Amino acid sequence: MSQSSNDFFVGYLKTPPKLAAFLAVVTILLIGLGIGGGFALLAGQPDYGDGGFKGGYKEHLGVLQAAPYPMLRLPPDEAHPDGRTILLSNPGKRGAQKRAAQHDGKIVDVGGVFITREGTSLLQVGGAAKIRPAQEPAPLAGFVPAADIPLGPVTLRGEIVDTKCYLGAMRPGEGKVHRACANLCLMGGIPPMLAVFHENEAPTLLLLTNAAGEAFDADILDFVAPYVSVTGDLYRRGDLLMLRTDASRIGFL
Amino acid sequence: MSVQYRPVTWTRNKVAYDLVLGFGIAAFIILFLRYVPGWLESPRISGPQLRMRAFGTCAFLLLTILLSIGPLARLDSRFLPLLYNRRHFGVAIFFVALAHSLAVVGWYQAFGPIDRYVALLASNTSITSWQAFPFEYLGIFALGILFTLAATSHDFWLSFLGAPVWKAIHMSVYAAYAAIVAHIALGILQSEHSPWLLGLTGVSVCLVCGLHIAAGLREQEASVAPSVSAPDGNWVHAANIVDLPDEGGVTVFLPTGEKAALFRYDGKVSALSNACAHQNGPLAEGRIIDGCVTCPWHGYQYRPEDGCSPAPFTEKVATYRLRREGDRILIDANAQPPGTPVPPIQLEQGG
Repeated sequence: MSQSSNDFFVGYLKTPPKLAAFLAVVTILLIGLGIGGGFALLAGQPDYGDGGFKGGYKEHLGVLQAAPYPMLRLPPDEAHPDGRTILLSNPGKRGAQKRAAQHDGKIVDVGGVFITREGTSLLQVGGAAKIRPAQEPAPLAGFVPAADIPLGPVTLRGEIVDTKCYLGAMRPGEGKVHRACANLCLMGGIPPMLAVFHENEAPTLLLLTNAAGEAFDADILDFVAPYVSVTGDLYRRGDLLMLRTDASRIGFL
Repeated sequence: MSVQYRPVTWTRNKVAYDLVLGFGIAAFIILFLRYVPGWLESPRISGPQLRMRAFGTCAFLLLTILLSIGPLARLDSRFLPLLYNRRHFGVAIFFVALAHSLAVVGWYQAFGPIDRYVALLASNTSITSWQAFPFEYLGIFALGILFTLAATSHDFWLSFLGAPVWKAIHMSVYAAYAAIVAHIALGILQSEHSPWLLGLTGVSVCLVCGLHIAAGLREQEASVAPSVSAPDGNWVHAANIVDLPDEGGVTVFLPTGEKAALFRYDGKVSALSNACAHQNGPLAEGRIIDGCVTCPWHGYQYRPEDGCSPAPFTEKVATYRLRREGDRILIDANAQPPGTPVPPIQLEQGG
């Protein structure tokens, strides 16, 4: 290696001017390329949707059903001719099972904030009401929520997500990087859903239960995040689609 | 060079190096978090996730640059100043990677039914599935290595552990890089199919591997010196006198597998081990400054006649016996113990 005395660097001596100029150019290039790489990554990020906490705190009157996951049933109205089914969760990565158990089948007031993405919502329970016996149950007197309607066997492809993060508690609340978080949510009791994606329209979301229509067990954690194929029996509860299946009928694509 | 251990022995160059490093990292993070999301069409990502990406991307880019410095300096000595303070670079990478990890643990692992640090290990355990593989484990492994390297980066540890052990520990930075590439490949590349993400990861791998292969090929071009048997030693051809640069060094590849550094200075020629006692820097690529062989990596100095650092410093390297045969220099391939005085070849007196 040839090296003139003009470009030999010794840390505790003054840097030769020619070498200092070279280093300045290299440094500017490196910092520029690094920052350019960061720009490119941000520009290349996909859109994680408009999901988020929306509408502020409100209280809702309905009939509480604790199984397979806590949900509020509302009678049919103009916008929801089949009735409305609202899934519930606690704050954080926790389901509302404990809070809902004592009110199963009863008319309740549920306070909370909706987490909404592309028209689908989940209600995070909280505020003054949380879940309590209805203070004015009269409007729902005599309302009996309709039983589940079987729609037949299906095989669907999509991603298993935890409902809360996917609908906007986190962005992104889906995909492999979110897998550990989604599993923690499911372990905490947040309802799992299968998101079936379509071109140019919002995904279809189906609540997942075991074959008996009860809450899924820990087996589902193995299938969260990667694309999967799920075979099961489709049901409808109010305006909520539910897919009864088990881990043996779920496979990675 | 130092005769006592201080946290950092500051020099003008070290201050400039650290300022530039700090400025580069700060500029990247601030632009990534604060300004770019506004300049570009909003990607609608949450703040904590943006922080994870900012620190993670920054650490990966920094590690790519760090691993490129070594082979770049082998290919072109003008990059050696970047090598000079590389340990500060490594410590900075650890802290940026730590910030990435804390952002992940503080958001994805928090607010759950189990402790966030337990959750990091327990929330995804599908190690037999490549689709669902817990890529977080690879990140934890890499962070552990980066921490070990940062914690043992000081010269105290180099002296305490000894150069071979210290060097072996610090070579694990390549395992950390491989784990981080796998962390990215089994993590975000599996869920997001941005050509930029894939492209930047690919460019990093190609750059690091390509530069190392190029530097390795250049080393291989040098051949081992031919042997000349003699009863008083294992003498081999070292160099032709006409090829010796004035005040500079020549690398001699010995049949023992060792390398010697042959220096011409003040009309004399001496040979030392090519490996600096500090970090095995290539002494033959150094210069004679103030009458001493000066290492190109960190400026450690040795007297060419006995391989000892000038007082008050205490470092020593092995020396080699030389013999002149006409227009060429022969070297005894068997090294003398570090610090052994060996009379130099006097060129003016005809050896």
